[in-house]
Amino acid sequence: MAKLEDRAARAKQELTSAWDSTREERALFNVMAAHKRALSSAAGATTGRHRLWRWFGGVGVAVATVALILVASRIGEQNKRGVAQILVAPTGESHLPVRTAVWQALPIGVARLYVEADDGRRVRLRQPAGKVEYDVKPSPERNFSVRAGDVEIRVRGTRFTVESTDSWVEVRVSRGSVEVFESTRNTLLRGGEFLRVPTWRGADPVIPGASDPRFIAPSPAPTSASVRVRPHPAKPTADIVEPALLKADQARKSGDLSTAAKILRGMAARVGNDPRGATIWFTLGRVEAQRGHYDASARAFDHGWRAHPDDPLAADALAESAQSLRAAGRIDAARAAARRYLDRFAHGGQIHRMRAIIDP
Amino acid sequence: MSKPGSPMAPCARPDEDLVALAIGGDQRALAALFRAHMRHVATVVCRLLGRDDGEVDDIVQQSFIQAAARLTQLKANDKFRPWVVSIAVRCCWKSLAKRRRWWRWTRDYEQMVPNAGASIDAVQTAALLGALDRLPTDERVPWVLHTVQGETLPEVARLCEISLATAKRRIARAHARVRRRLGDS
Repeated sequence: MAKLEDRAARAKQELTSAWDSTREERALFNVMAAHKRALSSAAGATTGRHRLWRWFGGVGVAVATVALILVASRIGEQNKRGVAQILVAPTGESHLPVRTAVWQALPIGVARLYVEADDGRRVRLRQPAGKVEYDVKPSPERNFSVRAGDVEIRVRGTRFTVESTDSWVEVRVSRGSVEVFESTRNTLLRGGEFLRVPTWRGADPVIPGASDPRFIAPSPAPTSASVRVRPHPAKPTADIVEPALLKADQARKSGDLSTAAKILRGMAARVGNDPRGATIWFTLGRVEAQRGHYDASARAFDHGWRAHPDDPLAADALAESAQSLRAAGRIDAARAAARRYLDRFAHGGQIHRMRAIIDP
Repeated sequence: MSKPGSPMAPCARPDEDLVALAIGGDQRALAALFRAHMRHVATVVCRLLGRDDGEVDDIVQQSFIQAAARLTQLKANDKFRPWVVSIAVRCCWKSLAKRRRWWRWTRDYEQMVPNAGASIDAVQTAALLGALDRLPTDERVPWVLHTVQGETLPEVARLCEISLATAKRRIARAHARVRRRLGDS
């Protein structure tokens, strides 16, 4: 192992800027030009006329700032009262689509749509009425959800339509897949499938072929080819998962890694395809790695990204899986995982580490 | 008055004369003064940032723009080079703190992975820079100035605008942390 002082001396040699005449001229030009601008603006500022303009400008900026604060606080109050900004309100035949770089909403007829959050990583919309077609670009890092009545639709990248009426909410998927969350169950819909959920409480959705043909819902009963829905395993209720995660976190922080791993493993087996499963598997992988159980860590990370390939943690889980495999001495498996990462997440944040595993 | 960026003959006048002329409004003297110290400042900035990219150019320019604006504040007995280096250190400090804040926010540390077939020296330097990236800025800057740049402790204290005792304490703490992270004996 090299001494730190030797390393510092080598760093000193290597970190000598390749400062050449081109860079020097460019920097000098920029510095002198900025200095000249500063001198001329300082000279100009001394005249009475400039002082007057600066005074007026300052007052203008202050007034505009106060007005902006007032408007922002008013909008905030309105949002608190649930009167969000209406972005889509077409009348008659004219459509007003909302288009952003990553998603677009095209109303079919008259629809109301509220954007409750859109910060790049998380988009949350509320559609109280009407029919809207959504087209969302695929991105595992982003959460996109639409709430219509009591139903929440979560997607990663797909094209689908949501129709919200007083009696029911219908979700129809053209491409990709969406997950429909109701109060008691969640359903995965793929391209070509649709689901209609009644919005009043207490009414059970009716399966195709039943007496009321209006409602089509997930059911273990066989369905027609055109209306194929798959029920998800029931997700554990929040009062089971959250306390267990909290307990595992406390154990982890106190250094009791084996207890944390035990709790997490127990939860991972129970959550199935619950969206929190990715977090549980990922945390379990980290805990196992901390314990030095690299094989178990790799298995947990691997399971995490395979079970939740669209989750924001999937890319990191796959990368961590490769790292754990390498730490476990399974170099070929680590390289395979690293290659898989580069194939699936070509623009991921771990590509350097993965390349280092493939070609050390 | 000379045009900014126009070629200038090398000037062998001492810094004190150039500073006096520059304060009097001589742009040629100012450019000559800056040209004489730019390479040294760029090297210090490069070592503090741990890389030689566009950020080095930005900070060098920023430092000299600030130096030009505050040239009249340079005291009679002060040397120009240490003074402009102290401005550059302050700029680097801000930039490193911003970088660290961003990393802490995104939890996405840059991984400096040397190319395949890189020398052992390059691998060890990359490991050292990786360890430095995880140091707090107020420990990293004095440590790099002292251990890599080779400045004396009083000079480090002056450049970082801290007391000598604080400089010693921060360097010792940084030393221990880097050692621990590198698994150095």
